[in-house]
Amino acid sequence: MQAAAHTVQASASPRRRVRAPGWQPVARALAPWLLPFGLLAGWFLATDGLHLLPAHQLPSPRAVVRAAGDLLAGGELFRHVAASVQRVALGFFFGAAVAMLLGLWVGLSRGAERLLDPTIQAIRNVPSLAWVPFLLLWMGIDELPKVTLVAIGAFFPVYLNLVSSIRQTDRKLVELGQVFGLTEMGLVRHIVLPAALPSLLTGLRIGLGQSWLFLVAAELIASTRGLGFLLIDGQNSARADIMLVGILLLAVLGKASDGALRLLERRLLVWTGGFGGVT
Amino acid sequence: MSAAISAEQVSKRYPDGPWVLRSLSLDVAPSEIVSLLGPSGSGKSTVLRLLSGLEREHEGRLLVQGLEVRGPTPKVGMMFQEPRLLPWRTVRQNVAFGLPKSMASGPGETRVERLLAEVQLTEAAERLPKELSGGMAQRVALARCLAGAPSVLLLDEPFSAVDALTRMHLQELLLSIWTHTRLTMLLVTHDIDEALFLSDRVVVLRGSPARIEETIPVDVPRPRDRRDETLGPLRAHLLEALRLAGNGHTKEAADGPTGFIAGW
Repeated sequence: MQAAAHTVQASASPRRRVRAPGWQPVARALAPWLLPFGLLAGWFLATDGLHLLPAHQLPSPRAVVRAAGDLLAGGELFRHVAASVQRVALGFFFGAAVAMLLGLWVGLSRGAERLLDPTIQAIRNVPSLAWVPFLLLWMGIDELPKVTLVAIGAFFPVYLNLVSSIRQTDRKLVELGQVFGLTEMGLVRHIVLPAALPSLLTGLRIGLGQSWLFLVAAELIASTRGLGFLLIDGQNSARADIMLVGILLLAVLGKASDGALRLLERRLLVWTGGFGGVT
Repeated sequence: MSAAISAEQVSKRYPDGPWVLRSLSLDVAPSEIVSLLGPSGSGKSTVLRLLSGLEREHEGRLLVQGLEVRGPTPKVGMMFQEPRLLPWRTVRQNVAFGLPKSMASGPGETRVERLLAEVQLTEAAERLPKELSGGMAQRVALARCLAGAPSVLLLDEPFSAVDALTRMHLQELLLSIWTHTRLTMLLVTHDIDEALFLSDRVVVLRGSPARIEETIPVDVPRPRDRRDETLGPLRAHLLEALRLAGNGHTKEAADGPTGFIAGW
């Protein structure tokens, strides 16, 4: 019986599909971890394993864990992480909120586009670090300049994605709304905004990523707390292990915050029928 | 009672473009089904777009139930060639999209359920448009049109993108809806059999600018049998009229500066 089933399956598809069922989901679940663990193994080999690199250039994983443990025990690690997370959360929130308001306005109105868009596009090209001295000059060295810089980072991807997706709304759906007697407000609410949602969410994800980039730019220069400060502090005291703690934390936090947005994206966008990639 | 749809000497051109319609006059009586048949590019769809209020600028008078067309109104339902479903709404929500804005939610829900049953989509009510076949999607679009309880239904090649069998089912569905609603329908099509099966009159348009070549009454009682022998001569006649209309189109183009290529 079993053998018969196998022959049928084998003849049905020339590719080998008879391999143990249930192994594929496991492989899929493990695949994302392959590279991180590979890197970790390579790192271990290059340091503690084969001593290819001196500790002051590349500290071993164990040294980094030890440094993280020390920072954790002293309560510093939590302080740095909390400061950075708070700045990103506030900056991203305000940056994205302003971007959505302006993006909506510019997207819907050609007049607003003429008025605002050229200036916004010009400001977009200012590198993040160029803002730092001026923000310090205007806002002092408290939280405000840092949160503002993060907000600037979050603003542009959200704004650009929203404007372009509003402009690209399917004319056929707009006509449909008109035929069914929607007012302009109704068209925006029932057609334009839902249609722009996928692109807006992409913009939010990129904006959140940028927020972390701009955060470090802000913290590198004038701060006493935060992961950017941790990096600078590690550099100043020649502690490569501390610098690596900061870098790894930035990677993990960035990934985690993006994961939260991806989850939201998946819940909100069940209706899209995209390609989705092959298995 | 006066005509449900009335076009008097309607002309239309797009800015800096050629005339699309020239002095076109057409009346559709209440509860009548009229097909506009013509070669592609003959301006058939423009007639519907003007009547639906989607296109504004024109010469002449366009009346729906005695009132001048000044923009889209709920009285005029429009069904497009593509289903144009809102992809983020379920089937049920798409049908509800067509409800009059003033309608309370209670009666609205009842109407949506009745329409879903009518187009046989009650089972699929929670599905998303991406999960529908072409024929199902057009049935949703039809139900959405009817949700607004229009008095006139404009159909722009609504069944041209589905397979032959599905098309016949959709045509029968449309007729069964007509049987109890007696909706006035103006249908644009390039399918002779569809025109013969559905309509009381077939208006053959000749292209650019569009004008009426010929109007052919189809005096065959409904429900019609597609193989009805009396339809045979009409089919042959329409085929000939359509061929002439198509030729006219080419001949006219041959008079233009690119005449050699177009005529060839």
